[in-house]
Amino acid sequence: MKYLLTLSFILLFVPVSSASYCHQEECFNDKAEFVIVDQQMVSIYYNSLFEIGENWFIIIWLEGTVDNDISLLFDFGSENSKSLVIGKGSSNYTDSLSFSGSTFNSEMFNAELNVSFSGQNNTGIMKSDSIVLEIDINKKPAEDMFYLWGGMSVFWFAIGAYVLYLSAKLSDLSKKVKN
Amino acid sequence: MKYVRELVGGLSFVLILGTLYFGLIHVGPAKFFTAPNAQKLFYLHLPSGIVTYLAFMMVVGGSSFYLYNKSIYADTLAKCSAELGLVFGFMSLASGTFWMKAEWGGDIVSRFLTDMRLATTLAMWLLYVAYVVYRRQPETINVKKNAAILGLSGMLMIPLSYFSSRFLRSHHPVIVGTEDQGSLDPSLRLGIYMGLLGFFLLYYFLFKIRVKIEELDRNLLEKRMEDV
Repeated sequence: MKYLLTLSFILLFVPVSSASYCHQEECFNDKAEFVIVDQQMVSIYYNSLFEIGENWFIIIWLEGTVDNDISLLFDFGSENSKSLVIGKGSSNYTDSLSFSGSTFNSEMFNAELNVSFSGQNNTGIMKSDSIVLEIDINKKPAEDMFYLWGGMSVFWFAIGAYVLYLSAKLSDLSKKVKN
Repeated sequence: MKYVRELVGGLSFVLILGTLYFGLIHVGPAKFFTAPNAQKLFYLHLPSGIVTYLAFMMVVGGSSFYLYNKSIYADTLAKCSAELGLVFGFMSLASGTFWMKAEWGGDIVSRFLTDMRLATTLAMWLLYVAYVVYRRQPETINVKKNAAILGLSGMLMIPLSYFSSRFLRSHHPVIVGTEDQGSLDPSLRLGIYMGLLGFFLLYYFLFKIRVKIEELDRNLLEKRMEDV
């Protein structure tokens, strides 16, 4: 029973752990900072390379305390956007969001991610602003290309080797017949 | 007429290049396949497979003629075709294995053991490996006769391999003579027909060279015998 439980535990958690992503700040190559409504600093950690087929993450880090709800919108355009609300009273707050790997289906250089925020400051005045992050969309080569070129290579090596064999044998016999 | 063989060789090269163009570039990524890129191997896999059957059928034909009337040409035809059948068979088996691994996944060895099309085709190929190895010894009448009997066993192995995907347990698709053949996209069909013609001509080109080698070898042997 003990072994059965251990096995069940492993089977239950191994797939989850193998599909985990690193959410630590050091796992992100790029960082952008901007100031929101009451001079609070927001840092965004991200990778400027979006790999098609892999989830793409952003970590948001807020320094200070917000007195009202702040809405953050991350928009790639073409209805590819995600939003996040930093709740009233949040202090030294951190959160993350992700875009699915199927957000894009073709490569693109300098795709613009528009990051905008809006919210009231402590005097009740509505404030909003935005920054633009440039992201490169990359498409990894298909895995079955290995098999295509593997099959092609073996194919042409086989015929090439046979033609060389025939050619060597023919020239050898021709020389012997002449002699 | 002097350069017919070279002309056929050149034409087969052009046609196979055309097939590669159609397969790799013109038709684009294949739809409805798990491995749309590896599917391109089909344009080489199918023609080389058909030419393999043709070559082994020539062995059967040549062997039966040899047993019937002791024709030296029939024996030469069988011997040369068997060697070419091994080359084209290897190309078909190798390209099929790569494609299978990408499309179906799983273990290659167990696929060859459990899929009847793969198992019978490999068995047919190994039979002719045995035939070619057997013929590497000095050619006496007995060796030729035994080789012809071995070559004739293809009468059983060739149809068994060809029809195995229709009547036995197999994942291998069947196209020729089915509704799928009629529903093939015209550009895809053009690529396959071009490949088939290119490989037939390549077979003819290599066959003529191989027969010439065999004739030179025989002449040389006869000359030595006369000298002795």
